[in-house]
Amino acid sequence: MTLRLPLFEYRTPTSLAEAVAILSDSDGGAVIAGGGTDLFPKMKRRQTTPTTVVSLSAIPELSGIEIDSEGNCRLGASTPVAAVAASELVPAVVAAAAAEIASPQIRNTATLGGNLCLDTRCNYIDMPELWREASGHCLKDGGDTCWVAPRGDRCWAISSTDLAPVVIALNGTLRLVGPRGERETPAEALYRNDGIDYHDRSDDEILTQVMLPPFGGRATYRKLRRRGSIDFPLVGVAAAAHLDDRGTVGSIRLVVGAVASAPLRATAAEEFLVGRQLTDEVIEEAARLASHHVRPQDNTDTGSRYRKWMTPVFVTRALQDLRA
Amino acid sequence: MSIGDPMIRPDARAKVTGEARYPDDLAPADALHAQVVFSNQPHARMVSMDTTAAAAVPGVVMILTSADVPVNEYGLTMFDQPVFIGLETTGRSRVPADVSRWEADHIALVVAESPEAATAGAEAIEVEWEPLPVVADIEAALTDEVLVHPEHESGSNSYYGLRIRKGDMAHGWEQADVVVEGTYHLPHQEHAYLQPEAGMAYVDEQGRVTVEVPGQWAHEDQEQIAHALDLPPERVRVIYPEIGGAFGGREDMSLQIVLALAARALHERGDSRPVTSRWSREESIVGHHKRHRGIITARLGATREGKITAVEARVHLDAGAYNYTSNKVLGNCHLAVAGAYEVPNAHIDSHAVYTNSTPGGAFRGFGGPQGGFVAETQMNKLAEALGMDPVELRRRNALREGSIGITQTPMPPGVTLPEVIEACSEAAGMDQPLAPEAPDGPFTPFPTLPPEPIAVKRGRGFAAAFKNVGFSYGFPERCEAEIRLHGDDRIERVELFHAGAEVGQGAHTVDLQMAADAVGVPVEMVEGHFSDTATSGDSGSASASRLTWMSGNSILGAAEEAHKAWLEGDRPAVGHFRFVPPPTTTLDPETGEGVPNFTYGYVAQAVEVSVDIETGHITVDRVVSTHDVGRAINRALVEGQIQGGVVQGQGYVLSENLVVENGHILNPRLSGYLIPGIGDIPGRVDSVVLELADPLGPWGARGMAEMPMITYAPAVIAAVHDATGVWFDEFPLTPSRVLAGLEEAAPH
Ligand SMILES: Cc1cc2nc3c(=O)[nH]c(=O)nc-3n(C[C@H](O)[C@H](O)[C@H](O)COP(=O)(O)OP(=O)(O)OC[C@H]3O[C@@H](n4cnc5c(N)ncnc54)[C@H](O)[C@@H]3O)c2cc1C
Repeated sequence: MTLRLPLFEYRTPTSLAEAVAILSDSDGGAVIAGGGTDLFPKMKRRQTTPTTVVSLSAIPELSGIEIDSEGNCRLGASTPVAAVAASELVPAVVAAAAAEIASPQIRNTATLGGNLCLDTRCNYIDMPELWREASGHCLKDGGDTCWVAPRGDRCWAISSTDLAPVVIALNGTLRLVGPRGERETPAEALYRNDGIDYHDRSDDEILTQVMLPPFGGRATYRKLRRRGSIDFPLVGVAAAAHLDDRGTVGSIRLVVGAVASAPLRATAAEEFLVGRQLTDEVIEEAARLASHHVRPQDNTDTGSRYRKWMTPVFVTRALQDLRA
Repeated sequence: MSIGDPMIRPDARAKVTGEARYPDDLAPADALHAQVVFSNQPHARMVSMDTTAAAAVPGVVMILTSADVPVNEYGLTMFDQPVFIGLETTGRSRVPADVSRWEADHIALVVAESPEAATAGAEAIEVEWEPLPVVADIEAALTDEVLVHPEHESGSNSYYGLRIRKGDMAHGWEQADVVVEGTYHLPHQEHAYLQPEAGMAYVDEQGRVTVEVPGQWAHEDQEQIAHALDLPPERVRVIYPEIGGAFGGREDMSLQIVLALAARALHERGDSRPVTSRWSREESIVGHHKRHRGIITARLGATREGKITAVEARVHLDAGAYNYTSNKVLGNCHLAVAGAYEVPNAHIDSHAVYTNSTPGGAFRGFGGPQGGFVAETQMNKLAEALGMDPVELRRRNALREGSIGITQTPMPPGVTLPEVIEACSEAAGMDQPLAPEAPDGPFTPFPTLPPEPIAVKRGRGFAAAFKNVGFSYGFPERCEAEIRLHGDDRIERVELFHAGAEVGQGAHTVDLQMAADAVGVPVEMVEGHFSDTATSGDSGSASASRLTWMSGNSILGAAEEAHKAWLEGDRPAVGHFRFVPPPTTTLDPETGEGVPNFTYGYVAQAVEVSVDIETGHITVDRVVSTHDVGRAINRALVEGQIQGGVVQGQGYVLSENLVVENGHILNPRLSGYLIPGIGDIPGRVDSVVLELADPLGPWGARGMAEMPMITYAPAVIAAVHDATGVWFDEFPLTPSRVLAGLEEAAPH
């Protein structure tokens, strides 16, 4: 049986105010769509059945990349991921991470906002409805058990966005617009380590812009993947640092993605690294500090043990990149 | 001269522009839609089935069940599978129909006005099952505590066996200075063709039940449909539209019979609308057979000089719930497991085993990859044990002209394995040290995961093999062609009628090239009429690397007949020819003596890999794939087969991991079953094509399409061993398996 979309109303507001109005009037029945590359497959699998889909594609101010008078890079949430990947205005690490997302076709359709707001993923939830019914609905699916960790009481679905770790590492800020007005928040504060309640954002709040402050340091993103052509991250490590002439770390932000329900700041490793040079021994200790509390679950096709092993390897490789 | 011309395929334009009509593009707007209902029960007895509610779903036109099948059984080589599981049958089937033995056994076909109504109808069917213990795998099957087919004459799940007893084993082991052994677990593989199963059926203007489906052998489809519908074959017509890949996966029935049943039932009700159906990717992966998984234990002995003295092997292939072509696949594996070498003493026992798991069946190589993996890995282990160059070891043992094969009869003339081994070794520089850096290639694998130079170990592996061309073991082998010459004084137009299936490999292109050459006209003058049982004779299947070889011989014969008729003044001059190759035989049940095949193709491959020992990722940097193709009818198509076979092998050995638990496939989708993408394929594939004529081949051609699959996995495994010092007796080599293996060999 071929999976088909359920019936829904499709709206294409041409202003932000109109979009906010549709969302707040819908009583929770409306969802935001960027490119829909995450949303529509989920609707086909009946993980969500909104009555209304609100596309942001016709709101001109949400699209585009520019450098403002203070040197900040401002990216509209509807900017296609492919445009981010091709942009010379964004820090190179952002373009590189964007180029690693999914496939060329998906990158052409997908948006920056959709990527940062990507729902959490898990082997048990991202399945057709019939399959979920047969195996029993999990926590995220309205059931009462997490099939990944049945004895716990939380959902372990994974944050799989490639761009969030990079935006957090670069100390980005997000602008959100909702019925109660507009607010700005550090990117890091948007994410919660909870597979169900993964955002500090109400459903009728629209992410409109990403702001990256000027950055003169070194940055990298390392992504573990099974397939070269198309794959979600199994582990993603973003690092951004300022090093002095002697290679001593002045400041660093280190973020590990895809091992929990939110991108994780490796603060202990960051603190350890400040004031040190990136020698092999220092990197090894930082990798240990960044990984020892990471507990990937068995909810991707590679299993948890492998991702646990790979976390320090990828932190190491990211820190080696900074040294180079 | 059209032979040897790498001409552009006539179907290329339509295929790349989307004009080509595949089975799912055929249905007119008024067509009815059918949904096959799977039992979803790996092993259970049906207690009751109620279709009343389903029939009442708006839009549902009719529901077909076992009660509607005149002869409720089918199968390519044995009738061991019911068309529908159900309680009411005509009693004319030999296999009990009330037990579901496979999760994808069919219980009904719902025909409706729309796909949505058909789905809703399918969901409304109510079935009560009495669960039976599931025979989950080979180990469970071999206990015979639960029988999958209690009605089978063998009285055992291990229902079909073959033996080889050659020479004197005690003597063989006595002479051996070195013995290597291993137990190998071979994985399933899914065909993952581009286009899932689909088709359309109707009753044509001459009253024939007509089915347009993708397949590999139109006349066999026709015969199986006719058998189940209890019709004479000529009342059934099978037409192949464009086919989106097959690889063996379309050798057995999927939608053919059920669509035919529906078309006939509709016709009897006076409804002349065609009926169409298609499977989703999930249904396709669950619903058709796989490359057999298997367990093979082997021992190999040799003298210090590297001469093989003895081979012993025990083969078990998981046939799954129904035979499909398992008996034939087993036959090939049985031969392949001894290797393409002179073996004086051999003791081989091979068994096909019924389980309640996904059926094993035809898939490019047809048992060759499993047997070949073991034979070649054993040879590579032997080379290591002897401290001998793996190429030299093969040189000393390779089958050659006049060799006696493992079945104690001479090899068919034209054995070119020694030449193939030399050419491969030379092209790959096997006598030179391996370069520390990977060579440049058009494809940069893992562009986004650059291996860390310090963590990368490079290695190189080698493997060689043979594979039969054409049907084996006494199975009737033939191929028909018809050529019509039009014109007055000179030939102005040529028509070719041929049933051979174009499954993407380019069969129709080479048919046209061969017909043009055989008649002596430019290829543009030949018009092909293909793959319609109403207009062409039986060609046999697109399988066993046989189609070019068999078609070519039939076309040569038809052209000769047509020329004769032309000289006699017939206009059009019609030549019909049925080519029959030299006969083959079954093997002696005790000793395995016999003539299993009439010709073989030969292959050798050298593979260079980089292994990232921190992540377990393997990158294949270079493949030298060497084939004796006898004569390349179309060089571009030959290279296409080599590259495609290598990529399919890449998935088999590195990433394709079908998870089957208790009779259920747990990852029936391409997000979890990882076939290689463009970023995962080898950095470069060097095709080395030899043209050493096959004495019986048309223009000297040999079959070659399966061969790249057969040596690839063992060559990669040997290269990984060369890089890391670790032998992997089980694959796919997923990064986590590689790391676990490295860790086990050298614990931290
Ligand atoms: C085969 C496949 C492979 C993939 N591989 C990757 C990968 O490698 N890396 C990766 O990061 N992702 C991957 N994805 C996920 C997804 O395609 C991308 O993350 C993409 O960037 C999502 O963007 P979108 O605009 O299509 O999101 P949508 O599907 O439109 O939206 C995603 C979610 O965000 C919400 N949303 C969208 N825009 C906004 C906004 N402006 N404000 C508030 N909420 C919003 C939606 O309501 C929805 O819940 C993959 C998806 C598929 C199908």
